[in-house]
Amino acid sequence: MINFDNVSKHYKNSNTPALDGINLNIEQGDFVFLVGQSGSGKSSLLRLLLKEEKPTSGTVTVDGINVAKLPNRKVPAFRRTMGIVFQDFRLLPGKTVFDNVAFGMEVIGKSKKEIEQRIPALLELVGLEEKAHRLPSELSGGEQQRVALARAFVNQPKLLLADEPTGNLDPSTSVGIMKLLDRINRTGTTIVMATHDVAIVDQMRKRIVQMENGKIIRDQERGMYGHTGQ
Amino acid sequence: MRFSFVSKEVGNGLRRNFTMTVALIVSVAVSLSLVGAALLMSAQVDRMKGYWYDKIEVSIFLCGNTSVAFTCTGAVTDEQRKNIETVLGTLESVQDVFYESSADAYEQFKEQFAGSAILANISPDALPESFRVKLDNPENFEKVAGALQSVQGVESIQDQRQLLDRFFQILKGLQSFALAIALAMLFVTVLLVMNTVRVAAFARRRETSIMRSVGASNMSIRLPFILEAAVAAVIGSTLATAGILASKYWLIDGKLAPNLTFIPFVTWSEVLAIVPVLYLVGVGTTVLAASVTLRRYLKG
Repeated sequence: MINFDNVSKHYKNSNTPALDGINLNIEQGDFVFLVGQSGSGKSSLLRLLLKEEKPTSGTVTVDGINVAKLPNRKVPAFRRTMGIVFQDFRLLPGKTVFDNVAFGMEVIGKSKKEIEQRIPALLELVGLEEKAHRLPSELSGGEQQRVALARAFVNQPKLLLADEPTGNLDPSTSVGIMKLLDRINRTGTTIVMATHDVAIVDQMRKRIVQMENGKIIRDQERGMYGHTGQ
Repeated sequence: MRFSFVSKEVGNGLRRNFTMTVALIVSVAVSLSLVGAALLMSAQVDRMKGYWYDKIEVSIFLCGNTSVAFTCTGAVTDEQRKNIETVLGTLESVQDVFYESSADAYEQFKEQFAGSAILANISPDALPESFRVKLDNPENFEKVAGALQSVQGVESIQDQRQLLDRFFQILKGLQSFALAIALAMLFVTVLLVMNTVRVAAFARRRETSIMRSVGASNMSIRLPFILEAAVAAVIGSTLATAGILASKYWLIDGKLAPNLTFIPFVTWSEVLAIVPVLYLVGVGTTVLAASVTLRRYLKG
């Protein structure tokens, strides 16, 4: 599904590389935690997957596609195969829950009929069927993140990238989001989640990829945050 | 991209950016009115040229008793007159030749200045006899003048076009002036479009970033912005068109034409021909400016 082959990334105005010789393989259906301190290279890694940046050297392959060689006009179609969730939810404040989720389908040209068929089931999945016509400002942080998750999952992507999805949420709300992610993962969707939420990582017991100074220092199945093997 | 979705986005964008939209509409309207005025003036000059050039002629005045030109040795002789007529006959650009004797000229003169005191001081002899030559194209004056200016018996050659050309030059000047202001206004419009689009793109960076992340194509991200600018341009062009049509109806047909009957004015079909040009310039410039700006501010 995802393969990093000796990937390095140097930003122009920095002396130290953001990514330094990364080798990583993620299979279809995996659930991977990307952990490490701020500046360890997690975000750079995600940005390379989205083709927001190009690697300085090495190749990134997603679903058989060499991301760096993907022409710009094909990037939108490429992004439709993945869902993205951010720490700050990125909902549109003027649109209702329903419209926010629908937005993900509207911008890629789905018909009104398809949208009206798909969204109720999706809102039910994230447990917000009662709040379809509320505005984001009327929702709690956890509920807003559920809306964002529904939108990310609306086109049934094979890959879901989550950048600190629980970063703005309290622990009990985070558990709910993680359960939801787990349920999405069980449908066969690959999930890569960058986080430094120790409690969550320890609870889930999923694969852990730990980064430091642009290098992978640990890659462990069913790992725990604190056990660095030192 | 669904039409209803795009039109909703465009409507929202225009409403949220209301003041800038109004500024854009006014700017487009003013600059296009000037473009229209310049085009109208050019059509008017063409029309007057066509009308008057058709009527003007070249006058070849023949020597009289008192003539001092080097081609004159006293009054023109019959032989010289015949020779001049033959030369005129060989010239290709000459369409028609009328001979006007001194007596004919005097008759004409009497008619034109009937009741004026000047008549008493003029005798038929004082008016030279002449050939009135009509050319196929007034531009060919030089050829005719060249062929005749050193022929014996010709005193002087006068081109009526020279008198008109001075007048046309003034009109041309006014036209260039209007065009220069129009270009300056169009430039201002382009800057305004760029700024409006930039502000709109900044105000909606959240939407566009979300659109990008869910995989909307570059075209569908940019289209609402471009359409917003285009809608403003269409409204502005319509206002400018209304202004041009109104000036034809009230100013030209209502005020000028009834009072200045000797001037042919632009017709409706000539005025209507300007309208598509205005829309094309207005919408084209705006869409182009918007696209260029978006390329810079909405990187995919």
